Amino acid sequence: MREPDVEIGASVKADEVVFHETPDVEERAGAEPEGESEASTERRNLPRPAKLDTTYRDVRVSHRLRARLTGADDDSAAAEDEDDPAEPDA
Amino acid sequence: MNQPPAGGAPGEDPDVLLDVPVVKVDEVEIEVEELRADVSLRAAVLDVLDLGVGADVDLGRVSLTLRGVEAQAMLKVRLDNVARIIDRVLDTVDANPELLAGTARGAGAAAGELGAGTVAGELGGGAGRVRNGIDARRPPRRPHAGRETGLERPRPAPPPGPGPGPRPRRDEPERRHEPEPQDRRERRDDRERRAARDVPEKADDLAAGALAAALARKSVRAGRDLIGGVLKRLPGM
Repeated sequence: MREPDVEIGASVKADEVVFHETPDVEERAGAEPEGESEASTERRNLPRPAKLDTTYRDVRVSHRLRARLTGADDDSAAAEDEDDPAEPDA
Repeated sequence: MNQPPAGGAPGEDPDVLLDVPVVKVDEVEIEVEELRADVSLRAAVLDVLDLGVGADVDLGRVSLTLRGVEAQAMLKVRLDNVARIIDRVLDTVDANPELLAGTARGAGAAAGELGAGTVAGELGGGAGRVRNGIDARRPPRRPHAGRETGLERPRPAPPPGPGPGPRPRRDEPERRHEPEPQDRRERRDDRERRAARDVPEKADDLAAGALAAALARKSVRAGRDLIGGVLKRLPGM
């Protein structure tokens, strides 16, 4: 994707992580009338899905959610760089 | 932390930036209900363009414990792409003010076919407000060397005369006031005849009518396509 118009990003690094409940995560990204979106996640030492009441050590999670309008002048670029729509990430 | 959670091209700062660089916590227990991060951008140009782009993350419920935490968060908005799209639309309207006039005429005609006078009034009034809005709020985007804006101008006041009464006859040589020049009168009559007919005569008028029909159908995409077609016909665009 080219430079996104809107972007949300977060990163967490922890020595230890314990989940007490299963996270209920929803995320959406998109553009009207037409656009593209992208979600990317980097996880280290944290399986998907995470198990409850399990201690995970040296964890790092980085997530980014981006969206961009595709206008008349970059339709061709969008066609070359087709990205899957954002999907929820547990 | 070694790398930012999100970023753009080096050297290109976003127009809106919410940055939580680093938060360090030894130990934290988190219980959250309905935590939401939402960023969106919406822009509209007249009735021609309505666009939006956004992203949001919703955590319904989270319960976890973290130790030795470093966290970052970032939210960015860049306006250059949206501005470029809007700029093209405004340039199109700027170069083709007939689009706006055609919108009003086409909407009126369409509503007439439907027999919906109320709709005609609303659509026509909307177009009129749009035209006034451009004239009042928006400075010229570039020099208009001899270009007609297409906005209606008040008619020149009639020349000062003796007041209401019979119009002077041409065969009255003793009258002081010169009769209206023939070429000027012909131009005025021609304008009035055109207005009375209210029939599209030029390609742009036809495009404007189609645009109005597309807008009446609430089809933004169709409107954009029509504008794109007009753009292709313009020299140098």
